[in-house]
Amino acid sequence: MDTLHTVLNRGCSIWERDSLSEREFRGRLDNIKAGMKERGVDLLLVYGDSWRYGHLAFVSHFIPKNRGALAAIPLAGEPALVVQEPSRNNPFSKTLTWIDEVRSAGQFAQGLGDALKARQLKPGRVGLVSVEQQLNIREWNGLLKTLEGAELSDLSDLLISLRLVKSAAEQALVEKSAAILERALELFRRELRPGRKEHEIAAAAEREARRQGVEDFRLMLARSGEPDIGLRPPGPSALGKGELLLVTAAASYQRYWAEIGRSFSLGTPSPESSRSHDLAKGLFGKLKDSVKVGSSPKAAADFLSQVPVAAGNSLAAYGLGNGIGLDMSEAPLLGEESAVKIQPGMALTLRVCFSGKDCGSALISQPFLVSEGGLQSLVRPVEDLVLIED
Amino acid sequence: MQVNSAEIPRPYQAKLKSLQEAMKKEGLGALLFYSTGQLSMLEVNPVLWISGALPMGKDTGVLITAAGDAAMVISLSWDLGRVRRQSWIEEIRVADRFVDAVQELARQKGIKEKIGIAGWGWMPAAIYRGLERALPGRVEAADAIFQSLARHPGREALAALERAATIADAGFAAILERAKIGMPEHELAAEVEYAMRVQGAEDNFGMVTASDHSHCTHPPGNRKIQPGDTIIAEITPALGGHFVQLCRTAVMGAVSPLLREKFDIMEEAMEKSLEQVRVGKKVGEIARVMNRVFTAYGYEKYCRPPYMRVRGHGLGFLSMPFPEIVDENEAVIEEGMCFVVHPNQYLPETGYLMLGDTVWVEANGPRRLTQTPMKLFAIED
Repeated sequence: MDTLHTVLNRGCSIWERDSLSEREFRGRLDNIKAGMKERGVDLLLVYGDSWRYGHLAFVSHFIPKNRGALAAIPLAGEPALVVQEPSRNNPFSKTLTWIDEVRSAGQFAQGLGDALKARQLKPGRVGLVSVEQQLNIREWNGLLKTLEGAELSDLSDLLISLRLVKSAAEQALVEKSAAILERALELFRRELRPGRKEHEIAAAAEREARRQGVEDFRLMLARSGEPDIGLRPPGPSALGKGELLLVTAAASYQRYWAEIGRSFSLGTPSPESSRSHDLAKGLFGKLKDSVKVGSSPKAAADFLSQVPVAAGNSLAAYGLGNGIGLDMSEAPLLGEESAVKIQPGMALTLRVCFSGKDCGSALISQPFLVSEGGLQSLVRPVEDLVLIED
Repeated sequence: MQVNSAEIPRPYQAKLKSLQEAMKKEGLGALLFYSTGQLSMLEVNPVLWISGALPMGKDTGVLITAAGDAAMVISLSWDLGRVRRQSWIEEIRVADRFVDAVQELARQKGIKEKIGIAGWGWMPAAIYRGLERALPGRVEAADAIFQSLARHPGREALAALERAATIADAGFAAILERAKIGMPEHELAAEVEYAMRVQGAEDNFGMVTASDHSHCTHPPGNRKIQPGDTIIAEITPALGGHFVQLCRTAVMGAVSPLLREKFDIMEEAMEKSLEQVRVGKKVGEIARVMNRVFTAYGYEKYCRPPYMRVRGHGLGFLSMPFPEIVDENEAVIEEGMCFVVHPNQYLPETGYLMLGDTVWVEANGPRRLTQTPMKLFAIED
């Protein structure tokens, strides 16, 4: 799900070759080129920025620090990566990607122009992924000049389809991120008590995750004492006795995200809190039952018709879940129309979250791997309200 | 919805008044303040600046009409409560299709004239092209209007800046306390992050690197700290939408005579460049003086790309006096500006070294906001 973005991806920034080998990326490149050939495209441009870099990381493994990067993949020959960084950062940028040709450039048009010139390539048909959607208008106009005369088409669907089913290496990384998050949330639980400030407890969880080597960590919470406010970043307020706390945390390791959400009760939960959580637990069971191999992602929303309106609206707003991997939220989106069916090898976050004055508050979310036999939880399931003893 | 101006917090009243004057001068019917979910320390965030709420989600906008009417468009319905709490704007709409929402707002508010876009420089092409199609001939870049108004954080921001500076000091103190031989870089960075987050830092543009010869500063890796390593730290916590940056260098073990000699140059460059931070002087002079110091010691080549170029910069989100301290910056230093001055320098004998402080410009010169001494630190394991 969406969280507040940070100004810098500042966690452990490396390419761990034992986890994702160059062979993995070469395999992806072959599949991408097959798709390009099928569509008659002789150059593919894939953009990503520090906020949304899933497609870019899929082709390059590169993670933009605070700006953006553009991968240029010609149908014939090796790809190039144009990174918006000072040139002195180039040796570091090269450590994050398998692509050999990394060009530092102030403007993408210049970097791309140089890469095309080096290849003596004047593309006729150019496929674009996340370029028009994310690149700013000034840079876009520059690219149009560089690509003058070329026919442009959006090829986002090609990469979305290639990313739906995760390889064994990708599955292992989502699992690793999930394991790190579990440890961070366990620390969060231990630190949680009335009187402590939100940001103090969040800081402890974040430190644990960063120690384990994550690139990024996000945590948001919602409190029963402020039912009008949904999940938000932690602030300076102290927690109170008897409060219900919804917490969602996400972390990425080697570019792969996992997300876990839990509900904590500081002391004995009120009857209302218990009722809300019982409802959430029942709904989470229904959600799990609805996500089956061969089913439509839309089917995940079938149970919403049986849910009280206010809770149902809140559930839909937070989303019932989604694919997880190089993006915190990626295809398939559960509960939404899609031509895609649930398939073995997909990594999914399933989420039941509702909050508000009219519906109570509860949160359960977990990462799963889809296998032929059904959903396999990537973490130890914690679906009950977590009680923090007085 | 027309807001009763008396109910608008005073800083925003002043902003609205200035914006209305600018719109009148430029013949604009409205200004659209726009932000994606990507946040940058090197830019004023248009949405935060005008609304008081940091944007979350794909597209956020605030439309201010020439009459001073304000409406906000956000993309996440569950975020409505947070935005309402943080912002003075009463009319907040949730929309999945941003362009359609802006078109509808323009229609409802009867805007016939051009709409200036504040945040145009960051606006994705698809959104801008969508707006051009929805409002043909009626949208144009207006970044200059709000950037000119956002040059100063304002005296009311000083408490948050001072608090952020204290947090930055705590971040660097964590390096001195926690760095150990054999500790991976990213674990040390985690300690720095913790020291600042636990004190309330809302974000951090922070990089901690340990090496025997760094070429630049970058996010940490998993390299283990070795005896004699030079640790360079760029620490930039945010509080209340304001950033303070601290750049320092520490050595694992005793400082070698060579490093001592080279760091003396850094200190001289810092001292002399701070003398240029005076009301009425040109920003470029700070960089020129700094470069003259390094040039005098034979390092002229290393003052230019691919080694160095920028000698400090504004710190964004809520204000930005100017983007970069570079030789050619002709901007004039004004009282109340806040920016970081850093003679960070790659030297062939030592690698990249860091020293820098955030200053608040007062009538009689710069006031350093952090307390960490401007020196080279040694860490005994």
